[in-house]
Order: sequence, then C-alpha cells, then structure tokens
Amino acid sequence: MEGTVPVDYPAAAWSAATAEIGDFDEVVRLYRPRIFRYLIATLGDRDVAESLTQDCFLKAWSARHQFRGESSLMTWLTRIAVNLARDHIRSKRMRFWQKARAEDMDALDVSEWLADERSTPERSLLAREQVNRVWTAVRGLSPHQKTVFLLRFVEELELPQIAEATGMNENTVKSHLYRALRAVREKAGNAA
Amino acid sequence: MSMQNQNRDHGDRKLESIEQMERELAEPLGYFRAALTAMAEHETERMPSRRWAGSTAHAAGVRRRLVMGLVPALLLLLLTAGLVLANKNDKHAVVPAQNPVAVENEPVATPKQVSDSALFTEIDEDLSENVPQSMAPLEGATASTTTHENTKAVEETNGVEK
Repeated sequence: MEGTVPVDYPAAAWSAATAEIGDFDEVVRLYRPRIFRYLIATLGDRDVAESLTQDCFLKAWSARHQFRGESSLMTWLTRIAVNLARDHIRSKRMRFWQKARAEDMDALDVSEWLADERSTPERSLLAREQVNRVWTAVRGLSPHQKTVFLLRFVEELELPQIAEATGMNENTVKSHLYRALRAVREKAGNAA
Repeated sequence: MSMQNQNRDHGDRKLESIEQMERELAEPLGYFRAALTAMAEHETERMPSRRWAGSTAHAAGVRRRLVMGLVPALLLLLLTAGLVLANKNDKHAVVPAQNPVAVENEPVATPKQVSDSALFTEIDEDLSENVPQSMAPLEGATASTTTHENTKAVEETNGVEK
C-alpha cells in the first residue's frame, strides 16, 4: 500500500514523534492506525472504533499542552484510547446494546485480513483458523484481561507501559496477562 | 521467608509462565496481530482526514494565506479611503463658488403703501356705481321683518296655545 504508514514502526520514531507533537497532522498520520487497531480489537465494532479514534485524537489535541514527554507519545495516546473504550463499555447505551455488539463482533471476521503469504493453501487455511481461534478466545476475556492482552500482543507494549496506559500496577497487569494467556492457550493452543 | 519475598517469587514465576505461554502461542498470536494490522491500515486509509489547526506546518500555512489575503485587502481599503477623502476635499473647494453660503440681503419688493383714507374713498367710489334696477335698494322699505309683537298677535288670532 503505497503512501501509507506501516502500523509497525521503530520505537525510535516515538521520541521523534514526541518532539513533533506540535505537528499534529503528522501525529495523527503516524498513530491513527495503531489506535484504531486497538479500539476495533477491543470493541469489535468498526463504526464505534472509528468514532472513538477520532475522539482520542480530539482529546489529545485539546490536552497536547499537558503532554510533557514523560511517557512515549504512543503510551499517552493509548491511555486516552483505553479510557475512551472503558467509558464506552460502561455507558448505559453500551450495556443496552451489549447483545448487538456481540453480534457485531461475531460478524467481524479478522482472519479474512490475513495476507495470503503461506506456502500452501493448507497452511493458509490453518493460519486463518488460528486467527479465528485467538479472536474467539479474546472475545471471551474479561474487559481488563482483554485490554492487557491486546496491549501486550497487538500493540506490543512492555508491562510497565501497559501499567502506565491502564493505570494498573505491574503485578495486576501480570495477573491479568497470565489469566488471559491461559484462556487463549486453552482455545487456540491446540491448533498452534 | 518474608511476605514481600513470597510475592516477588510468585510474580517471577508468573512472569516465567507468561513468557513460556508467549513462546507457545507465538505463531497464532503473530497471525492474529498481522490480520488486525492489515485491517486497521485498510480502514484508517478510508477514514476522512481532518486538518488540525494547531499543527505547526498547517498553522504556518494558514498564517501565510491569511497575510497574503489581508495585505491586498488592506491596501485596497487604504486606496478607497484616500480616494473618498480626496473627493470630499474637491467638493468642499467647488461648493462655495457655485452656491455662496452667505447671500447678501436683496431689497424685497414691498407693496405700495396706501393710506387708509384713500382706500376707503376708492371703496366708496366702487360702491356708488350704478347697479341694475332690480338690484337697487327698495324705496321706503320698513322693518318688515317679523317682530315679537307681530308674532304674538298672529298667534292669538290663530288661537295657538302654548
């Protein structure tokens, strides 16, 4: 995809982006795919994830003068996104539409986005099946477990960064991650 | 062993277990992440991108465009103001010549002074002119108009009661 920013970019770019928070267009261009990825994996709803991604950058824009660079820009943005997702899940409207959301998550087929790079069709099929198993396992996690799991294995944050982004202490993060991994291994590990 | 050490050991063991499970699940987790990443890239590409007014580059561009737009507007305003003032001054210079403000009092033609006696004489002359016979005053005319006494007498004759 020409002209797009890869979602994975070197950590060194973080500090550069931190210095460049003044150029907010660039911040959005760099981090929007990552924030959206976290939100859609958490909520399983494209429209809500898109809306909350916009909200996330709007909040960051409003509070940009408070950003002192004590954490990486990604951690700071992730904290905003985590809070937005949590508030959304807690909202009455969200509880009311919980069932509909679950159906949306069912409808969202993540595995179809897996690039067909496997050597044989059988391996491609197996890879997609593994993605589906993980996705099913993730949907069954508690909100805290899901948040920690996604931040660790999708956003690839370190435990201290996860603690900072979620406001939990590191031991709590470890506990949630441990339980989440056990649950995922139970459902997805057999096929791995 | 103190409680703090026990907690640390417990945490370390948990971390080891986490690392072990991560290794076991490396492949499916890698696929899961790759799929989500591809989806996120695709979806964010089609999202409408807005301009953030505070961005340095954007703000500089806005300022530049603002200055580029304002300077000609200001110049035009000054030019217009100058022209209006010049026009006003020209008018002030011409107006006194065409319409003098202070006009000397010219003698107003007043009607000819006629004395009262002459006027009456003139009226008398006009009135004394001959008039047609029919319009001549009645000769020997008396106060034939109805008087109170006459009316009373007539009423009594006619037997009118009040």
